[in-house]
Amino acid sequence: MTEKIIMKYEDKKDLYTLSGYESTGGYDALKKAIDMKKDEIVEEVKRSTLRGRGGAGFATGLKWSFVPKDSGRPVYLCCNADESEPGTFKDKWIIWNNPHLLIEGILISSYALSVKHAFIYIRGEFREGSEILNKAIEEAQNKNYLGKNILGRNIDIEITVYRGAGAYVCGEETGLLESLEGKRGWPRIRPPFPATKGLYQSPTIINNVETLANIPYIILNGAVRFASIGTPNNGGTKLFCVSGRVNRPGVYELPLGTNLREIIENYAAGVKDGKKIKAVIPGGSSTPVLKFDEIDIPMDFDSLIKAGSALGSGGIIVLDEDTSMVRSLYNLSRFYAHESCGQCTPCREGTIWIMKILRRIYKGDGKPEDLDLLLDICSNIKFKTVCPFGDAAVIPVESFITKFRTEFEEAIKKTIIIPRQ
Amino acid sequence: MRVVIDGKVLEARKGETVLQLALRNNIQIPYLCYYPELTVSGSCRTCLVEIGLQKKDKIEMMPKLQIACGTEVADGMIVITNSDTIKKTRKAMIEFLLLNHPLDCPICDQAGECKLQDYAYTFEQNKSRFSEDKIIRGKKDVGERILLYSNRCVMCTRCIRFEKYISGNYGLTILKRGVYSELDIFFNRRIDHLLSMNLVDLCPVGAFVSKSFLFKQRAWFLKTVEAICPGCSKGCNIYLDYNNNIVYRIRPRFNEKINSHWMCDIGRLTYKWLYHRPRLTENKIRDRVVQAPEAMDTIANTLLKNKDKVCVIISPYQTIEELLMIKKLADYLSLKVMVLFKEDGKEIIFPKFTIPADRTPNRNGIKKIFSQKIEKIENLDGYDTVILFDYSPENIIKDEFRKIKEIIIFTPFNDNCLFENVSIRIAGTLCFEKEGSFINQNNKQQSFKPAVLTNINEYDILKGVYKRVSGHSEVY
Repeated sequence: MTEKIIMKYEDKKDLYTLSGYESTGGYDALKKAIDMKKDEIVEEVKRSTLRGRGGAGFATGLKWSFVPKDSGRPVYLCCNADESEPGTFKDKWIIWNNPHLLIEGILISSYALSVKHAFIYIRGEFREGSEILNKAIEEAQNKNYLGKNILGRNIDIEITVYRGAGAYVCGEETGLLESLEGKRGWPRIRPPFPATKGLYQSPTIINNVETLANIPYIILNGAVRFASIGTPNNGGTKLFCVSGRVNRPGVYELPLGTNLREIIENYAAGVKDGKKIKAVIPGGSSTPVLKFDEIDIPMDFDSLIKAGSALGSGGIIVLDEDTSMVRSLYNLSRFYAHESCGQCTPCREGTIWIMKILRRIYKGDGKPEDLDLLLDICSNIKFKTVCPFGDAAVIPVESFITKFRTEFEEAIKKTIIIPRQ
Repeated sequence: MRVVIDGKVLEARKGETVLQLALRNNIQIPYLCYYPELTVSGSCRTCLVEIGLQKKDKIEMMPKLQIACGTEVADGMIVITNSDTIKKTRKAMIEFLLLNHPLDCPICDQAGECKLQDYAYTFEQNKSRFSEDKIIRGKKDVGERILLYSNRCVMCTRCIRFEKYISGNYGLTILKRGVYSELDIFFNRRIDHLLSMNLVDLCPVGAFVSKSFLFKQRAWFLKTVEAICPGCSKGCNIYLDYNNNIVYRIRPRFNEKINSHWMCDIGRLTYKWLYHRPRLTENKIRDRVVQAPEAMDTIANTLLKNKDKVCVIISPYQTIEELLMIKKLADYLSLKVMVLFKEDGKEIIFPKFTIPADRTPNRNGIKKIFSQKIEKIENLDGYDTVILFDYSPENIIKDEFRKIKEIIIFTPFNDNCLFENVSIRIAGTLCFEKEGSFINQNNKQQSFKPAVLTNINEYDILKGVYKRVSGHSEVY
């Protein structure tokens, strides 16, 4: 059994309370960190090869080093808890079960980056989660872990929990900042990047919940030990959220580089009713789908990129042999058409067009030229939008159609019947 | 700074964007959401270009296409705007924009001067691959002078940015999300401010239309002449759009120092002066229509007979040229000169635009020509005869004029000063009907050209009167 970082004490019932968390050695990392130099912490995180767990997999330490030291403006830290990628529920687990770990991670990061005010942007639907966080913050404040003069030292850090209003696009970092500023959640054009001009035009670091939850372990146990878990340049563990047609869906913390088939068969206890796997979406709906013969693959950022997919947020969605790919894709495209913010042309018009064509195919009114049209629309959206939403919206369409083209062609010719549930 | 666009080496200014540089050098890059003076939005994605940056000795192309409107120039930058990728992209963006566009060009006011229409032709987007149902949005009455056809909107947000930064009214917003997004005003917050009609010019498509121009004329029939707005002392530069001797519309003409790209609604509707009151088209002595020579003779005789008791009352709506001729006449006969004008309005201040309190176009011209001696009409006692130049669009003649024995009036309006003591009525022209110039509040003299041709020429009558009075045969 390999070492766990975030879910180590998952069986402990009172982990979400301060006393429960402290009994597992909680806030020791913070005590250690405030004795360290700020640059030392950043260096430690760099050495740990920790990569952003939100989806893009950008090196966290490198991101931190982009913050200008002499901008004359306050630095902000935003924790991105707007977890809305279909198939992903790892941040939810952390917030509900181990909120103090996140808070400790935020506090250490804030100290390292000289942040006085950190924000947790939590998705609107996580009302309960925001209450849990607020309660945890209050507990920590009472014990002087955060607030003014933390642990008797001259350090002030404040954390504010901000609830979004339920838009997927606000999980995109600049959309998040706009929303946090109280505006419409429309992503900004870059440059300038948030690290130089983010929240209120000040340098801002935006990190995912899981990324920040890894920080206390790195401080406490050292970068080398963290990097030794996982594969080279993909240090640490990852929370994999397995869903779909499996016997035991749920969150599993495993080292990066764990084999995908192993995750499905050993941890999620295989496919329901002994069916065969048809396809697996490896990292949330915005990553290219893998066919049944492509799933013998180590789950880390680099291996999946090499295989033409991406680790994304680690939301593994398993589709069995009975699943209709046409229906699944129509379902996904509906999500993207609904969530497109409407700011830029290709995404606003393209996502709904894709959805309408797929709906037609699904309902049996497809035309033979539709598939090529869909791929052409995808190429017209890809890399031409303000934010990565457009790319995310076309990735499943492109991968589903190229990898399962015959199924789509049969659906257009009406030689197969698509189950309607 | 050197930037290469499509192989052409161009000298770039620091801080300008690729799009500005290209437009300055006549390289066509399509754009919808960009508008000078407004912030960059970067949302229409039609100006996407390929950009390469100088990295040491080689040029590194950026992996993604970049927006020309939001990318600042850098030394050694390479911009490609005519590759096949770019051509395909532009065509695709126009296709996307047309998907849910109603294509109601035949009944749209903007047709003929619509950016979307132009681009659809330019990029040969003449056949739609879209066979689904379109999304339909409504028509909205959003202000006193403007209408919003949100169905035609392309979400460029120029209007929203205008409302934020130029008018400061914050009246517009986008409701809903994604393809269902819809431009609308905030609840009960109609756009009635005096810059509202700029939204009509600003809108690249026909989403905002002006109520006064709606369905009046097709854009391709309109001819245009450059002129100066007579609405106030700001002296906004304008275009007069006319056809068949009828002015249909006034649009602002860019002048960095005076009005930028904007003008106020008061000025925009000044063309209505031509039509809102009955016009005087013929010269009359009492009720008899007379030809110009007879009118000149009569006026000259009246003046010579009784020149000590003649007062000239001029109007700040007159051009510099007319005022100079009046000055000559008045100086020759040493006549008293006074000015007829309305009380000042209130100065109206927007974040980026000010409407001055003085709502007449040429008061500074009067000051300059007659030096400061000129005074407002206060006391007409002691004068038998008044030569009254009344060009004000509002009827502001006071009862004091009833006491005068004889009035000679130059006016464009037939309902002006119908007192019994008016002996001679000379038909006048409005500034849309003649050439001339005004001096604005900042002492800048600006000339304008006529949009409407008439056979009325009160300047010749003035000249004739001066010739007859002075005996000079040549007058300039």
